Amino acid sequence: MIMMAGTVLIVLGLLFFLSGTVGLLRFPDVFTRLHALSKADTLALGLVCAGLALHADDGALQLKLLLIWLLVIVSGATCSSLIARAALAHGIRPWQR
Amino acid sequence: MLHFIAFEPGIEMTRLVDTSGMHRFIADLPALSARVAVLAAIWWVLTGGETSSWDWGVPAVLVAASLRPGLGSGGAWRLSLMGLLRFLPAFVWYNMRGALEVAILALDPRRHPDPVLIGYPLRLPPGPARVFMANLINLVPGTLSTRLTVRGIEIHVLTASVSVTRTLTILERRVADLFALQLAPGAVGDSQP
Repeated sequence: MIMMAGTVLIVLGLLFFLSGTVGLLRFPDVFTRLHALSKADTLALGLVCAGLALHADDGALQLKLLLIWLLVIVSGATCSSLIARAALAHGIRPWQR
Repeated sequence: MLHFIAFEPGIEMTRLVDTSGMHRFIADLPALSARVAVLAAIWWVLTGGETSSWDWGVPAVLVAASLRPGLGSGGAWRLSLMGLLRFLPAFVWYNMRGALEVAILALDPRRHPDPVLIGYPLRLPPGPARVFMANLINLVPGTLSTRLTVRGIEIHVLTASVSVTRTLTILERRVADLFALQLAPGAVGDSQP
């Protein structure tokens, strides 16, 4: 039962990774693409890590998965802002309809 | 460095002496040791305690510990446990909503982004909490922080027709709780939960 729940979380996570990647390809400029990656991929990785933690039978491994998720959240959020700021500083204007 | 009081040379001299060389190193030693301990623990967890990994781990930990601690150069900060307990569910909820919204926008061929740049006046005091808020904004529905300005923050909004002010006001309150800070009185959302 727990294994099943873990697998469901992993599959959900993969769907969010997929949607983030579709956004990366489909959205028109660097800013909108950052939206897709920063939000969808954070949740996707959280779901995959949670799913894997349910499959793991070892507390150290579960702690490692949690830590990986936290580190990726922090670096992902920071990098998104840095890329957006650098794009504006280089004169790239946000795309508008 | 910006806080030196130029017209009081006595104070300036004292601070310069205090923060120079050996003095500064010794004063920083307890904090430095704590950073080494935390970073070594992170390395140990990530590598599963593999002995040979310390060949890279020791230099990595020492270099990382010698850098200024996170959240910018805004000085000291502390977190409130109660604030953390209030913050975490809000973060998980908004991150899920943000991911779901952007996934629908990406996957539905009839929908398209309609972005706009807005300014949001921050009521958090300048410093680490603002930097934290700027990062947090990237993980919640429809917002991407592009620049911290003197008065607030410049935000790229993915869908112009959706108001993000309410979400930001609630989040700002949660961040203030997390850092055990008071929000400055402001025009937006004083009565928000």
